Amino acid sequence: MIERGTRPDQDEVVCRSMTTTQPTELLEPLLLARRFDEILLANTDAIRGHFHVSIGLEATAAALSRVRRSGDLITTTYRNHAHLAALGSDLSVMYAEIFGRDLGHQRGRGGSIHLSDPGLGMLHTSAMVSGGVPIALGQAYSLSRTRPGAVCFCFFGDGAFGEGAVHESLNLASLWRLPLVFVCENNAPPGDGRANDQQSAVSLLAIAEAHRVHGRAVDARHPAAVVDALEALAEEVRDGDGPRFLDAQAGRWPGNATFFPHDATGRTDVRHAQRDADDPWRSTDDPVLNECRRLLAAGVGLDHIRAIDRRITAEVEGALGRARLAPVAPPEAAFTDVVAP
Amino acid sequence: MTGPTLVQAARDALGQAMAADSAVIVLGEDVTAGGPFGLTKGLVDEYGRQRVRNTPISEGAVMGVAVGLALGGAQPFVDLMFCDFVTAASDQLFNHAAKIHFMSGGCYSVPLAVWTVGGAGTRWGAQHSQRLDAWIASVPGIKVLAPASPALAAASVLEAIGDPDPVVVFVDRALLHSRRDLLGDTGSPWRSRVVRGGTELTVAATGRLVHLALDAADSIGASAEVVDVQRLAPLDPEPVVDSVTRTSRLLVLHDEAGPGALAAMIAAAVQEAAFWYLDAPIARLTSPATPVPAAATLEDAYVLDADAVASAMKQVLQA
Amino acid sequence: MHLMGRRAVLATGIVGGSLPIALGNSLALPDEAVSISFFGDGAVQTGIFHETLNLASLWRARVLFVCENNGWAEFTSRAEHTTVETVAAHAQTYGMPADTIDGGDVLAVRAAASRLLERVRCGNPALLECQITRLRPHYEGDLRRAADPDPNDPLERLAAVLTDAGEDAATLAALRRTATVAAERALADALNDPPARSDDAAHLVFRRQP
Repeated sequence: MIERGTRPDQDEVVCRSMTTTQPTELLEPLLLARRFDEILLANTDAIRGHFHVSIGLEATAAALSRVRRSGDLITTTYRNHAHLAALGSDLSVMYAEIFGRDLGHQRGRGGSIHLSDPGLGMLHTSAMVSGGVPIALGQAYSLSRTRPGAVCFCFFGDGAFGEGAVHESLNLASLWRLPLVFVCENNAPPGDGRANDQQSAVSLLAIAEAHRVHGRAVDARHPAAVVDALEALAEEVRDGDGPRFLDAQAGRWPGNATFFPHDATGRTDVRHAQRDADDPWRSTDDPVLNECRRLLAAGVGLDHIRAIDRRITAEVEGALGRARLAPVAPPEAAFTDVVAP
Repeated sequence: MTGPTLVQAARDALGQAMAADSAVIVLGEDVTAGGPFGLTKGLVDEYGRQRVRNTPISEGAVMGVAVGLALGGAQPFVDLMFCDFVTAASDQLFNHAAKIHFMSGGCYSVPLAVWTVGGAGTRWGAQHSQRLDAWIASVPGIKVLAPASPALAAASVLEAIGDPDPVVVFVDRALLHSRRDLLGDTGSPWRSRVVRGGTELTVAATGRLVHLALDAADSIGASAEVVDVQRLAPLDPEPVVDSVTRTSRLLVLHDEAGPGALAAMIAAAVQEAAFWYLDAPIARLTSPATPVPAAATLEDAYVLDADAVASAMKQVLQA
Repeated sequence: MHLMGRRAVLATGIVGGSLPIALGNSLALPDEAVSISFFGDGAVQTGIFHETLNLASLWRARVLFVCENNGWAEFTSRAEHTTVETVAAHAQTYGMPADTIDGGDVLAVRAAASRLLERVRCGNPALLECQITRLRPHYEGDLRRAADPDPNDPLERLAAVLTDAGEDAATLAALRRTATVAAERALADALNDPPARSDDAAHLVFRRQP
């Protein structure tokens, strides 16, 4: 049964062209996500709504871009820029939607917090905390019936564990052995022997395990580790062994604010990968810098890294320019497509 | 205008209630940080974390906790942030809080106060911009107040806390930082009130639309009698009916999607009580029957503005 | 489904609905007093169960959660609702003391409840899982009826324990008669009460008419 709305095309190239032997294959989606948000922060005059940035959380999105296969589905949250950018969504369409322009399928109706890309398997993005989780459950159920071996990746933040819907979904996913990978993008500091100050359980993993969803934790400041973890879990799910859970623990970006992020760390300078820094962000918490460090240690030259960065930055800036020229969403778009024709 | 904003007035009232009665307990997300709109600013410093309780994102359980507190003799005040989140709290609010007094044969009442903010216009998109007050108001057992000025917001907060039944104070987001006062601000939030006398038509409105109606009437030079409905549940149509017996024309304004359940309730009540006084069909103006779009240009097309209100007034006058 | 009285503060028809209410109630009670929440195993799969246990633990609330686990949620067995076997396992996730016992053994229930209540009074919310055999169908009128009498009947089991301990049959029979007479009298009194009046209903919606 075909889902309503745009159906991801199995033959479509959904990831940017990267061969698996490229050492810098993780750097590109990381930089796409990072530059997208930094350039957005420099253009807030064009935003007339609310937005969140993924700075600090790019590793899970980049890992997704390596692990996702054509036919897989994804649900994400209001903090979604990295997921779309890393997967190869059209950046100008993304910017346009954030700016309230008429360039993509959403026509300004959703804005940043509801960005979706059906062609990439992201059919709908909920802005309600935990809103996408039961939907992912249903999508996984649908996949189990129509596309064995396909997986639904479900992203949510650590705050979502407060919502009963996450528990109900973990239980059902386990009970029905659904092909679902729950990925928690966890940027909360641990609290006194507990997962964080809103949870009494010792860890988020313990909660998942209590519902019989096995998983692991990973340091999401290190993208390569996240790829390994996500890949391993996805394989287990593809084999039909039921759902899995990944607790991807990241540091909190200093500019993260409840409503409006602010540019607290400036434009990322990849040269910092070779320098000492005394702030935690640059010295240990920045996943982009950590990946650069890994590449440098593996023999990739800084010049090569900078060249990639320049290319990607130019691409993002071009997308921004196109979006700023796009027409504003016309009023009639406010009243159409409420129901299917 | 130099008075407090609506949210400041409400905050002061809440502080006053907490000072007067140690049974008042505030619960909600981010309440120790003052909340997104400043409603609980500074309260935790004065009253501590046992009385100003930050909660995880667990609206369902938290509303239930509030019911239990109320049954135990406390006076819980739940900050439900955006009214869209009433969906997550709906079982406890609609199936429990609203029904316990009735089902217990009057044995228990649930003195629960809920503050929530709704309405479009700030580009928050479909899931954070709704007006679900008609839904809440349609469940018997819940009182709903919709104050349109700072003084009445303060009074609503105090009344909600002092009331033995569940009371939802439904605040129009567009008025949170408004300092505009209205005639009758020293009156009770429980009665619909005439905020301006007039002869040519009656305009029944809520929240920001009360102010818009006054402005629109000025702009077209109409002598409109504007009634601030204020109490959405149980509905108090009498002042509207009374006004219509003198003006013979009625326009109902409400910020809700679609044909408008609350606007329809008011129109129906007036039709039943004052049909023979009407010189023209009752008109209703509500938002389109669509989700609220996020983009500025789209949301501006969705939200009722002064022009739309003025135009509707003219139509009623000419009908 | 909603019998309420002075001692039993609330009954709800919504599975899981009373858990957070019990938690909130406990916060309003004087020190040392506790709130006891009864629910079935079907409630354990509701989101509200988890939200509530997490909050209870975070807030060190004086609540004893008592799960009457009869292996059935309405017409569906527990195995079709979840892969988790014991309810107590969930309590442990939230750092709560918990116990799983034979809920058909009255003396065991009393002993376990007393032990856990002592901890609850000190601010350690706890969960007692009473595993029981469902003797009657989900509701009266359900065609799937168990045969009577049932060896799992906790009353019969208690009677057997008391008999073994030396109580004589006449005493036990007298206790049963007293209870039966009291119930029959209460029923007769209730049937003699006038029917509920529909014109009372409107006045019961609110404690205070606006």
